[in-house]
Amino acid sequence: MPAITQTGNATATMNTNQRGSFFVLAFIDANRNNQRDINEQGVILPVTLVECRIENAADLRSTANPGQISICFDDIAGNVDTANYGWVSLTTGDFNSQATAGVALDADVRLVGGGPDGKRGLDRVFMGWANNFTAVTYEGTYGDDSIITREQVDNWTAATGAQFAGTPVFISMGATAPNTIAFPPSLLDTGRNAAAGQDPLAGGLYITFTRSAENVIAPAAAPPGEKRHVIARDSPGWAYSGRHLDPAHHVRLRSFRHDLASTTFLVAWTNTTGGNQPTPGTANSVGFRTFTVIAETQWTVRATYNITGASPHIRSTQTGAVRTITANNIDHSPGVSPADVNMEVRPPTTLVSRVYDAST
Amino acid sequence: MPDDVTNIRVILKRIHVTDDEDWFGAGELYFQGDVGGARIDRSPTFRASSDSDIPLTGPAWDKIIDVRGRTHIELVLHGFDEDVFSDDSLGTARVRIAKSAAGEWPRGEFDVASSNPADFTLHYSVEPILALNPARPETAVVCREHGASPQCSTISGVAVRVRKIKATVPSTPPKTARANPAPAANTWAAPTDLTFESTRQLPRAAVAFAPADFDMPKALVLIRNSAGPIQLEAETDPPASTFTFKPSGPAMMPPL
Repeated sequence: MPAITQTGNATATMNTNQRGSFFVLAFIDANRNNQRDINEQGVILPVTLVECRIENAADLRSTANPGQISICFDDIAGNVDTANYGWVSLTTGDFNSQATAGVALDADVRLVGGGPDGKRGLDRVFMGWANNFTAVTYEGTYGDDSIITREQVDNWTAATGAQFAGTPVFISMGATAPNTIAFPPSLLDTGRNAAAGQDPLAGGLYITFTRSAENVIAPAAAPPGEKRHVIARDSPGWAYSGRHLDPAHHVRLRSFRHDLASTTFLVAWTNTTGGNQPTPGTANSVGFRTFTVIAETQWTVRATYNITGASPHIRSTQTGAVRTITANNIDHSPGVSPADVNMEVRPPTTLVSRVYDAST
Repeated sequence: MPDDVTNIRVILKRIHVTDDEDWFGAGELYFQGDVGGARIDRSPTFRASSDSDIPLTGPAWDKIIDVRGRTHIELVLHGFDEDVFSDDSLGTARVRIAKSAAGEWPRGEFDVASSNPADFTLHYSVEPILALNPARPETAVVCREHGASPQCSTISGVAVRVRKIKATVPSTPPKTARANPAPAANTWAAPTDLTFESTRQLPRAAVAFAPADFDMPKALVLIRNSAGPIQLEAETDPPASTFTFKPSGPAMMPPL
């Protein structure tokens, strides 16, 4: 049983470091014998604590697919030798499958709740992969040594440059400078957003990758509890403009450096009224704002290139280390708090706060 | 107020055998009797020698007696040594448990020796129980300190109703709090921590444990090692009571 510590006349605290189902009794101990006698009045709180655990090292198998990195001109596959171009695109695969994604998050998790078979309460437990950017250096260097960087800002609506690749651009002629937000520490990274009716501000499923999915493994694993297969994938890319984005600079891209460090956390949460989505405002609905980290996958994308040659043979040439994607898995079973592993669960998200800073 | 005591609990805890009435080796002893009208059936046979203790455990030795309208009850325990032809008496322990002149029932642990013959001493405890008002089953009495004395009393003239237990579940805080500006603010919508309430009353019986008690949405379901501790708060109407919090249920599965 978890420890219950009396803290006042009518208050106590309960630890969560056990698993199973039980009652918490709060009663008026009329005869002060520290036991509940049948004529003593009180109330019952039914509780189920569910353990989520990676059973075997092989069950945590997120992988990087470095072969999915592609660098080409103007998003045209194979366009690596061109007479002219608008931009250089770096892609890391697609979102169609685990095999064709830049990084494939993948784990089997055993869940054990209450009851003799350990399944009690599992209908209110949910899991998913939620990503944090921990460091990003996307910078293009131009012919006059000016640099355009990707920044995370809280005033993206003040950007006055023409959008590039659907992203706001700050330029030197703009009245307002980009106001960068503290990064690092980590930023939540999800494609879910309020416009799509999946506001990460609400918690639950909405902090996870859009392709995060969980299924009970079939055929069913032997008790206790059940095993679930939890997957997600990501294929982040970026575009480097061939010409400087600030019209005051009449120069072309000379090189770019593309460094992304990301950590995707396998998180578990509950919803006492059911469903993996957050249900704020529903009476007695709790758990969807309380995340526990079961594992993490740290992954990187790195590439450094020069733009070389002259029309009609402009090419991108690798410099420094070989372009790659890496992944490293860490098991935190049976769970730690997000704070323990420097995880951010709250917006702003990377996608809504990203800009090109061409103002310097 | 003494009249709030509606039951007393008498627990027979131990028998000290002074003479087992057996000439050869340990005696084969048994006991039976009555507490305030609640019969104590013939016990199992204990093998015990002179100057030894017999611990008494289990519900057979634990009696809750309704004392409403009564000024006293009697505790009687007869002891015997089994023998081939006729059982030998160890005597009878007899004690009158009575209200004081101030109307208060005794509380504590006591001894009473048997007589005719004086072959054993019974060690027992008495606890007055402040119970529900039978005319107001929704009300309860509460315990309060009287100076340093652990006596209980009611809230004078006020019926107290146990309403609910509330669990406050901490929300995962932002790693980096960003209060402003609004597009980047990342505090949880108020209330920050969410609460789960149960109004299920304890039955006037032993607590039973059924799977359906944990069906959605009746149970608080959380992840092991999730943020904690969970804050628990019991509420009465009016708010004035002292509660005891206890976990209860079958043994939980050990962690994997």
